[in-house]
Amino acid sequence: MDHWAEDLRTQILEGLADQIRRIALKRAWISYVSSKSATLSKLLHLKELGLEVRRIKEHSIEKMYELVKEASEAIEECNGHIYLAKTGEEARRIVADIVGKGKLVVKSKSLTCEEIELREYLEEVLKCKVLETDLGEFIVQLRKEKPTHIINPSIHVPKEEVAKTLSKLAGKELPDDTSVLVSFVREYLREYYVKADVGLSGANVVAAQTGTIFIVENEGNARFSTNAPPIHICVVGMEKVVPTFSDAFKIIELLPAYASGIPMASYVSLITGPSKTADIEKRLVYGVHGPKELHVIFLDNGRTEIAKHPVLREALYCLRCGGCLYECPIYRILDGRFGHNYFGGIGSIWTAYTRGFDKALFAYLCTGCGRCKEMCPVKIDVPKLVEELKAELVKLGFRHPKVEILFKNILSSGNPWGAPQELRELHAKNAGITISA
Amino acid sequence: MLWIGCTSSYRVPDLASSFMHILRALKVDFKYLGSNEGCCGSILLRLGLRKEFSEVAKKTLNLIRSTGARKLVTHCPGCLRAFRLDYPLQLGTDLGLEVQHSTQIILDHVKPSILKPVEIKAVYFDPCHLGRHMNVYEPPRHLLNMIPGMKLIELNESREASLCCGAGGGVRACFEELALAVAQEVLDYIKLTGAEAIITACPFCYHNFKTASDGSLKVLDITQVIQASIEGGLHGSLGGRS
Ligand code: SF4
Repeated sequence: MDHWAEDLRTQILEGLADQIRRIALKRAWISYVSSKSATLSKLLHLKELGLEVRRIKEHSIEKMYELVKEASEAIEECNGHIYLAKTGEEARRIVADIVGKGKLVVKSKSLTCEEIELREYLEEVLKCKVLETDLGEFIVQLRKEKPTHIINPSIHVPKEEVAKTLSKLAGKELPDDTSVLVSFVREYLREYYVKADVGLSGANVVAAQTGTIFIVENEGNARFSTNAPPIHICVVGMEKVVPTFSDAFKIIELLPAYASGIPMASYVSLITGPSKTADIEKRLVYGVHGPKELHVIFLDNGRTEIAKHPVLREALYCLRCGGCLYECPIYRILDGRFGHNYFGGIGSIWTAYTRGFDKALFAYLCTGCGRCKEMCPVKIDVPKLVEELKAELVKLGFRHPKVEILFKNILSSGNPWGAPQELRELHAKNAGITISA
Repeated sequence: MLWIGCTSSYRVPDLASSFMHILRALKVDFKYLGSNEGCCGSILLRLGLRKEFSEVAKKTLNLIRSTGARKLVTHCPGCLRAFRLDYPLQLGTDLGLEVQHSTQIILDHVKPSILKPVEIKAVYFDPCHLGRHMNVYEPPRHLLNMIPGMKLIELNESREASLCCGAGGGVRACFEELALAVAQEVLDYIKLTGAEAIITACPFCYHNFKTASDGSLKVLDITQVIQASIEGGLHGSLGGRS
């Protein structure tokens, strides 16, 4: 079991040597930090709002099951379909039943879909054509890579590389001019939205009372992909449900500043049931301009387990703003290598419970410095959680091989290096001090 | 009673000597366990070994209690955190005596009149274990500002938002290359401010910065700076070593 530490080290060394990637990352966090600080100094109330949102989350996680139930009833009342998936496997099967084989699916960015590897499943098992419509996610998909940031998935790819990737798709040379590249993708994806059989999304928040799904974005792709196709499937973690509409809005108000350093995102979509009209003789018909069917899958996949844990449950308050990542000294060097689907200290808890503890060993790369806790809008005590996770990892047998030696040395010699204790008197002698205890 | 700690004792003993020099110059009476001092066990806890930590911590707790000391002064913020936060949490009991950091006791006893000029432009670097974890932000700044000639540059990333040297959480012990890369980033960043030195108040940070440094920025511990100031300036003890 010891080789995992060597694997981690190999990843670190790769990360340290990857100069191009480190430059791209550095540009990204420097620009993030400066826009966030400008935004936060303009919107002074966000600090206070963060604490209020924390209270909302504390209460919501306490009542997670009741709230999912309430949201489910509300969604059904508006003629939506609801499902509760215990595991990723169950969620994939539900999606398979709705989508069927060989369909065209447009997808907007969703960490929750990523968590259960839904795109890969649709492509490989159901032989569907799935298009990621978020630009960053689209680039990563084309490059057959994994996202490296929860908000900016392609943050590790410099524009020269993006140009190469998109040129291949276009079948012609595209310049490494960002606006040319963006308009190429815009044109390319446009027709797929209309042709698609299914639109797939996640959600940032769900308001239980009305059954409303909130989706925040800047590009407009989530609007297209959840609105144009006849069927919309939304996969959402159970922890995303809050009691009321106004609770949900508070989270939405908080997110963009911490996610992207901007006062508000370009678009917030609020979806309450499928598209409908009663314009002709007051008869209710579904699927006018928007989808005819809305399917909402609430995903457990370890969330109940986290909620039961007296310390780790705090991880469920996470809004997935990603604010802590660009502030993390380790992430700033290793980006996606400091994670597995979920990144950074907070990500290690999420990875452990949703993907398995053996995937969460990157927790050992966390220095416990606590910058993330200070930077987090809801003040999640990430270092405390990571230390708790490490204790769980140790119980499972994932101890770093060096700790055995440290421990033995402390017991036998009184210090971690097994050095002679007499050396402790040397510096006193150097200072001319006689030992008096 | 002093608690020098393992890192200061074995990795950077010069700092331990500096601290003792200062206390003697300030005429502070203290005891030191010397070869009988133990390990606070913090490194084990940081790496998730709770049982093992408790075993070590109990021994250390008994050792400290058996001395009858009423006050313990740690040189290392890691020990400070362990004694003040982790012992109560993991053992269900604290040491039963006051625990202070070295910068606090120095500040309590120092008189401005004994401090001679140290002409240097420096950044004070808040160690995570001292600042964010223990809320000790002011004493080191206060001390440094008392030194004539000291020009402190305050970073945007200071106090609660302070950067991290990269060594904590067992990362230096287990993944040294990563710890050093983090330190390197910090040093590069501080160089941009035009500072000549980075001054920290933690032997762990000092050790990590020192290893990562190419020498273009002086890496100093606050005890070295104060000792130099007491003994008559930068040249003697600072110039050679940094
Ligand atoms: S831990 Fe806090 S800062 Fe990090 S992603 Fe979650 S909510 Fe955002």
